[in-house]
Amino acid sequence: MSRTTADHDDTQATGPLVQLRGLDVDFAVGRGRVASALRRIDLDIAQNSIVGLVGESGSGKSTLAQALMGLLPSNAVFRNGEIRLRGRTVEPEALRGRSLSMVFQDPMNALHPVMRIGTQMIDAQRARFPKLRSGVLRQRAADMLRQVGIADPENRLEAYPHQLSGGMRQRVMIAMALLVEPDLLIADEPTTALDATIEAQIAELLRLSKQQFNGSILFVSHSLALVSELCDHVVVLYAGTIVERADVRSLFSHPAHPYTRALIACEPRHDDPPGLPMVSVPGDLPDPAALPPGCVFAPRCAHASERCHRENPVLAPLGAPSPGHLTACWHPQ
Amino acid sequence: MSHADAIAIRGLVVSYGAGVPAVSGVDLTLGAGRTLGVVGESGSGKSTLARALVGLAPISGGSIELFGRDLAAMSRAERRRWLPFHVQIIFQDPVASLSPRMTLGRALAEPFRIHGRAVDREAIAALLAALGLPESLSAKYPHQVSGGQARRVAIARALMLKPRFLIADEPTAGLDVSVQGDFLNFMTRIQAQFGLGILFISHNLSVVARTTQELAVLYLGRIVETGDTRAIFAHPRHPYTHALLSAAPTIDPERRKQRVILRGEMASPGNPPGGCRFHPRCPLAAERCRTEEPQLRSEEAGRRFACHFPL
Repeated sequence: MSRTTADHDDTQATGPLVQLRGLDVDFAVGRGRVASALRRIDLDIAQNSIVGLVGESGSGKSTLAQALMGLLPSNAVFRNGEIRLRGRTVEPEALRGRSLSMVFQDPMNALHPVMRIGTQMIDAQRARFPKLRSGVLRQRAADMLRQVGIADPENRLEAYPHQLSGGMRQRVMIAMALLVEPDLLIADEPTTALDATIEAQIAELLRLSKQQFNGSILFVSHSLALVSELCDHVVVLYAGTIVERADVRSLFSHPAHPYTRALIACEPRHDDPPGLPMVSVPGDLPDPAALPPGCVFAPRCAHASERCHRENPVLAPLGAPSPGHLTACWHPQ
Repeated sequence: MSHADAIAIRGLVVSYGAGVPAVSGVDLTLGAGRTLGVVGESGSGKSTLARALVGLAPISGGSIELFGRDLAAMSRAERRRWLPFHVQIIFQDPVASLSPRMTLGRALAEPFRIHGRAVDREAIAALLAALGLPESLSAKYPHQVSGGQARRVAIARALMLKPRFLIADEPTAGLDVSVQGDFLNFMTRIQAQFGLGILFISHNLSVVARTTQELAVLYLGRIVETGDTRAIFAHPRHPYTHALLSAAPTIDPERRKQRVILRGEMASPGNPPGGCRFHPRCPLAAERCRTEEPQLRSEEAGRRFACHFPL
């Protein structure tokens, strides 16, 4: 990151772009049963930063992204919590479209299959720029396609989604999301369906576009490695709760929560000798409709004490060397 | 038989219809009981290669020998009798191949039924025990067990007829990293336990590095590099292999510095570029690469690559 000191100070002065406070989301799962999807989520997204949200399937990371977008499914209950944009409390729906746009895992599901790319890219801008004529919107679309590395954009605007490769469709989605000049771009596993060399290209593109549009990105991923490369801050979710939160350097150099440490240990490395057994985290995620009384990770944790099974730890600063490094653990490592 | 390779592929061409071949001119041999990783991007032909090995893709040219038997020379009936007892395949998301309305015990007995044999309860119990799976699984339905366990059951079923070779097409796709290791250890263990040969298709290079002895890198239907997995990871000779290895995200900042980001995407397999198929994306491409297609060659034992200007 090559941010200047002046920029940094400016960020400090204006405060975070988005703040989540005490977010609780439940799901009705039938027969009157309720599953807890998110609990006590506190999260800041600073101006011009990329925040990585990591967790396994079932950790609640997509629910968190949906809650921010006001796109929760109909059986979800937004029980508690506050979303602030530049310090002002807002309804989640108010963020959508204007201040916030989203890139999904599978662009084929997000693009209309029988509409030309150009038409979709023009329509996406209408609400944001109601006074601009179609010709201008089209020109903006073409320029943005060029910026995300698509050659011959004039012709691509005439194409239908199926005529583009997966990597190109994902670029179109990112271009479309950037066209509305959002303050926050939410990218929900945008590279999961892509090949390694294309994934590297898209990650590079996100990094560059953050600098260009001067906004922030919430990058949702199950890949610690990718998050470690792309993000400024990392939030680790487990079973609907934040277990650790820190700037990227601090998190990977001093992971404090046993779950974070276990996830990092699971990440295979190229230079590991072959035949070396791979590491995994024994056990399964707890049933969200019947969470354990204490720490949610305690049943799988090698360091769990009596207290961990009884009392739920809250997110607290680790202290001295890295003040922004928080973890919810009775026995941080 | 004991001297025969598990797999001997010579000049294999697989075409679907009249189009450009999905796999063209692949040469590959693998000793019995060895593990081979096949890596490449979507459209590189890796799944087609796997399917051709079990007769699910048409062999339009060249030959495939499995344990000394020429696949193309076998009649359909012969293939049906012989192949399942020698080579089995599990697909991406093996769980999807388990019927949700069939108990796992019944799913495990299917191979016997399909091949008109008496269901060997003892063999099922013995295999489950050998794989470290509780026998109580038999009474359960797929949705009642974890994803990792359902995958193990799918593998147990593939091993029921005691094949000597297992093809696994992206078996860890969709598995969380926290349980992926456990599953791969399982694969490594059964490989040793049964002396099983495995062809492991994956786009996850770190996974392949750990679990295979040999490696083949495919690009647009051709092998660009093949040889000992460790040697290739330590020193890739083909620029594509190098880019692919360096592109994988890593938590190690030192490795990141060596990143090569390729421009563009793989050309359409239906319209491959002339000369070297990788030349439009290759940072080292020269005039010769545009006109002359490089052939696989060797400069050291156990390693072949197809490049005019190897690294």
